[in-house]
Amino acid sequence: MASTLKKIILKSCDGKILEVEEAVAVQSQMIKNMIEDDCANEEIPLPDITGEILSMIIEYCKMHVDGENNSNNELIARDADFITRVDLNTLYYLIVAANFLNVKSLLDLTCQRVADIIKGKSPEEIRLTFNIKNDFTPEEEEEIRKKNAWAFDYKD
Amino acid sequence: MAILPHDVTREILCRLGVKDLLRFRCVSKPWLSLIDDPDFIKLHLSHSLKTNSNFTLVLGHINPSLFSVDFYPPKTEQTHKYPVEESHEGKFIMLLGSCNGLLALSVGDNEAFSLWNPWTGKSQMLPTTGTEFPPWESCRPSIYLGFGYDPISDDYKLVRITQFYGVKDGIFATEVKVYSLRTNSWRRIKDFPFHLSHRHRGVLVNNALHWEVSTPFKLNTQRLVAAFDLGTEEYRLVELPDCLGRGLRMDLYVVGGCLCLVVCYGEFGSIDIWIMKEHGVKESWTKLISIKYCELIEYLSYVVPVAFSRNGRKVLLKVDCKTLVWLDLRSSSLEKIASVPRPCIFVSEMMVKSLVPLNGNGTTMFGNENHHGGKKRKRSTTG
Repeated sequence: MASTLKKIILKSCDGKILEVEEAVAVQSQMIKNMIEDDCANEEIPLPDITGEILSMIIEYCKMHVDGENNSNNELIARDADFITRVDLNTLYYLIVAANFLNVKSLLDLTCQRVADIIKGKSPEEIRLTFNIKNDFTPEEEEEIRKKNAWAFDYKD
Repeated sequence: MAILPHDVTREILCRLGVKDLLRFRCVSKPWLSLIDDPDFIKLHLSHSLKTNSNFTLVLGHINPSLFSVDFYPPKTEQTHKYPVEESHEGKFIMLLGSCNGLLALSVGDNEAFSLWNPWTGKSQMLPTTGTEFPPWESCRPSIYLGFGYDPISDDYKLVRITQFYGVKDGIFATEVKVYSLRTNSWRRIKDFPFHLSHRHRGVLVNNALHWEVSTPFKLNTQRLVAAFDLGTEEYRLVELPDCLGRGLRMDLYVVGGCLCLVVCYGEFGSIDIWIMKEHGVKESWTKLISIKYCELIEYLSYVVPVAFSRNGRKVLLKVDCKTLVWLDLRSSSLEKIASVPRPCIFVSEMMVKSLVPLNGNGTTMFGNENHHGGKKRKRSTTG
């Protein structure tokens, strides 16, 4: 198919230029919209996405385009293999980028991965993981804990 | 990890279980307001329903508690004490139905009704309502109830049908009242045109309640199933498979979100289990399996289909009100689940866990402290 050979040029925030086949690039709803509006003929600058993250996202999108004819189970296995290689810090940048580029399946995959990592954790661990400041007074926190005491009985 | 944008946090949290969410309410004020946000609660519920996650099997004796058993890991059991006011202490409690994480309960022979979310621990007594027509001395009224969600007005409704039926005296009168959680009040709607038979509790499928019915004053009429649409509040008949024959008994259930029909041909004969794969489409009735009398099943008429296994190859059955067995749909083999929590399980309800709130117009009687016995142990449920 001739149309799939058209290249889209993406530029990361650290100046890396990546040429991507249109069929791969349209996995991003944002880029797809730009192509439809005829705004993708020149390089597309992506101000918040580094070259490293962008390469990972393209790898993911390519995997999905190439794997279109594979069985569902195969794709799930590939997704799992892709996502378990990613550390939490990288995962953060992947989520933000997948959200910005609107790659729905990657956003699902990354959010599910974070959910799997944080399930069963304590509120303290959550605050540490996400750099969240505890803005409750000890009394307020105690009140919330008391209301759902059963939810705090979770360590096996 | 750096601080996540709000919409991404929502996307992550909606994939967690209710227990994690209740615990994470005390992470910070922004997390608390995110988790308590009604839109987030809906997002979480729809994600659970879409991905078939957060489901639990609620089992119950009579009083004072229900037990919920999680099917898929971590396979834990939890005790939920019925939320009962002191004045109702010791009274018979019956489960009328469940929907989106809420349970509807009847206290003492339909003296009072309450709604309950066992996970948030919130419960609410419903206002009482009388019947509007004069009682006949010659016959006692029968009461039929059902609970579900109305997607049109985004409301939870409890339906109460009262019927007087005296064949000898030629009396047939009905009254239908609907309770709305949104308005916390009852109102009368148009009458139910059929005679309801032995099944007292409406079976909820596709936001409609289903009952087995017959036409009044006609003997030996064909078996009918009527559906009450909770959104439009209209009644209609649901067509049954043609080749049912004359079973001893017919019962309706819901399994895997589909209307399910169990026809019993003799206590020591066999039963057929049918599934309506596409709601309202007669041609989609499919006979799932026939089960013959065997030593694992004492009474065929007490076989209740509860749920499908994750891969759909097995169906979980409650037999003789005391045992849970997996039935393999291909080999027809039965596999007893090693341990059943309590003898005599009257309630066996597959339901989704949610944070769906009660509206607080009514009396919220309890906090959460005493509702969970904290009893938790690994279970040997398989499948």
